[in-house]
Amino acid sequence: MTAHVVVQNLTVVLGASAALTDVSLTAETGEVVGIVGPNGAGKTTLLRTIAGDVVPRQGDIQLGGLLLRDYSLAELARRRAYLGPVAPTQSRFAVYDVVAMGRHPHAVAEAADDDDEVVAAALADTDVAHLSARPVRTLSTGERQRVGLARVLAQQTPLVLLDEPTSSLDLGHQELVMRRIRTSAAAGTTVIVVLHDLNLAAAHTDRLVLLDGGRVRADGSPFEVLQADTLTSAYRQAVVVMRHPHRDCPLVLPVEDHSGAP
Amino acid sequence: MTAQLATDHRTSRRGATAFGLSIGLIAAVLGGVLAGAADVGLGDVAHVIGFKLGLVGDERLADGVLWAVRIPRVLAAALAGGLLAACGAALQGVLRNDMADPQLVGILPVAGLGGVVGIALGGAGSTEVGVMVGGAIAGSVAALLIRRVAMRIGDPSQFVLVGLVLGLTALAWLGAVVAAWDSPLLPTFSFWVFGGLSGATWSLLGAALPLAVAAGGVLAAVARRLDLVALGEREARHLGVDVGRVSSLTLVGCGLAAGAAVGLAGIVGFVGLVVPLSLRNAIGPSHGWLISLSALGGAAAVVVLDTVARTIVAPVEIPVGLLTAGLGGPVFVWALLRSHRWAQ
Repeated sequence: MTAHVVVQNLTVVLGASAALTDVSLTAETGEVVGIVGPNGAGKTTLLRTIAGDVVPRQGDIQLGGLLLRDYSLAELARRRAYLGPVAPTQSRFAVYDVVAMGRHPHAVAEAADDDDEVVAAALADTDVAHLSARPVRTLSTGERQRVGLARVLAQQTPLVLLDEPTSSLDLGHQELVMRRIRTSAAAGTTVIVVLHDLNLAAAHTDRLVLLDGGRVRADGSPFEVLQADTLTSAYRQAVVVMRHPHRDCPLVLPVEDHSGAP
Repeated sequence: MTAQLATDHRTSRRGATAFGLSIGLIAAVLGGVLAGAADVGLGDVAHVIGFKLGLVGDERLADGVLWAVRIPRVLAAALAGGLLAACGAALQGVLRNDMADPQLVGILPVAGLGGVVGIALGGAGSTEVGVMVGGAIAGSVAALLIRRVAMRIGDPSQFVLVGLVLGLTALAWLGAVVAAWDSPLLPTFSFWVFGGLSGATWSLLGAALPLAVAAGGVLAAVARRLDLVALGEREARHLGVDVGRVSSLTLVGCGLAAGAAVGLAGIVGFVGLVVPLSLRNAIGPSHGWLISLSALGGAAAVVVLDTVARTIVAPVEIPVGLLTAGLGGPVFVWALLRSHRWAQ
């Protein structure tokens, strides 16, 4: 495995306050890296900075050995895809058309004869093929979120950035989406995914980065990062961590606070 | 890029709509050429075209009125209508606001003011070129300005209000210049404010054509990327679209179209609003289709309305802009209510 994304000493200032302070992390090729942390920890800011939307005050981001800022918009679009936390709601375009827009970065670069197959596969993988002809604005929030993921899959980039891709999904579709993400990773796609659900993160990521107050609090395997004392302090909520009875991963459960701490 | 699955039903509706609009435009043009005080038939139209092409030797009496008056007027109406509707469709896409219309957001009035200034600077030798160049420059600047305002304000209703105020201000200045200068070179204030095609000539058409071609080329080039911008500016950027550049190009295309339209027909409102709104449900949101079929529909609509304007109470003419606004307003409200019902 080789370092695909290298974030070094990143400091991002939004408005007057620091959103990220001295954040470093590495994502290897084909790795699923989960970013977790309480509200306001800087997870979305980190993902948007890696996507190239936010210019850092300090620090560098390297993508495939080159500095992020040296890529053109068109080159970047062939190398990374991004799914925001809120799927666009008002599009009149049909589901199929929106997913096919994921092929746009490839339309000029090479003859993309397999566009239809790629789009059809993305629709099937996210269980929205039956919605192909529906205008996106008529879908439910969860359906729109899956359409957004289908568009990202259709973009076929070596790096995929996902901001809470399961936030509106039911249990079955959460697992479906996370399994699909792992399939991509197994085929060599690097995935950096922001997740609120620690158990989903524990089960489906190779490595976790816990952000708190704009800083990296912990970085390692799910077992290393999801420690009861670390989580209790980061989330200001008492938790117990046990081994998942049927999976080789930790299981985090909130409990009543008996320590007397606020 | 093809999208067969989703758009099969829509493709057939697009084809049918394109066919219907083309037939409608041809019928409108023929009707417009034939209608009027001087009684002419299809044979006369064929004759004058044959004569001008050198196929027929002798000139007829009807050739004069057809070639000097009716044909350029109908063509000017078609060109202005097509440009206005295409401009409206593109504006609605780039501003992501269905209320956007070249008149409502102030682009047409500012282009009119630019046209007047262009005539003043161009002098007697080149009023046609002056009005077009001045209109195109002012229209493009106004369009770019409107986007800056829209980005700053965000709230769509306020932004249309700013456009209205900008348009009224431009109209006031335009009126002041027309009143103060009082030159026979200058079309009347009524032409600018209410629109009209009685001044259409071949030389005016010739001056407008390069602008129309340029506007059409620009809008055709950005149409696909406008589809991605409609998804959201961030989404478009992540798909490699330089949203700022696409927006600027689109707005300059709109400005060129507005300049040519205002030079041909004065300020003709509501065409750019009503035509795309009426077509959107039938042909879907794809900008390539929306812009090109809006152009067809706008051309047919203005030709029909101009024919009505000059024949209904002949020999008196009603300014065509009054008809587009008088009929377009209610149609707009109706179409808006209908599209809201569809959205729910």
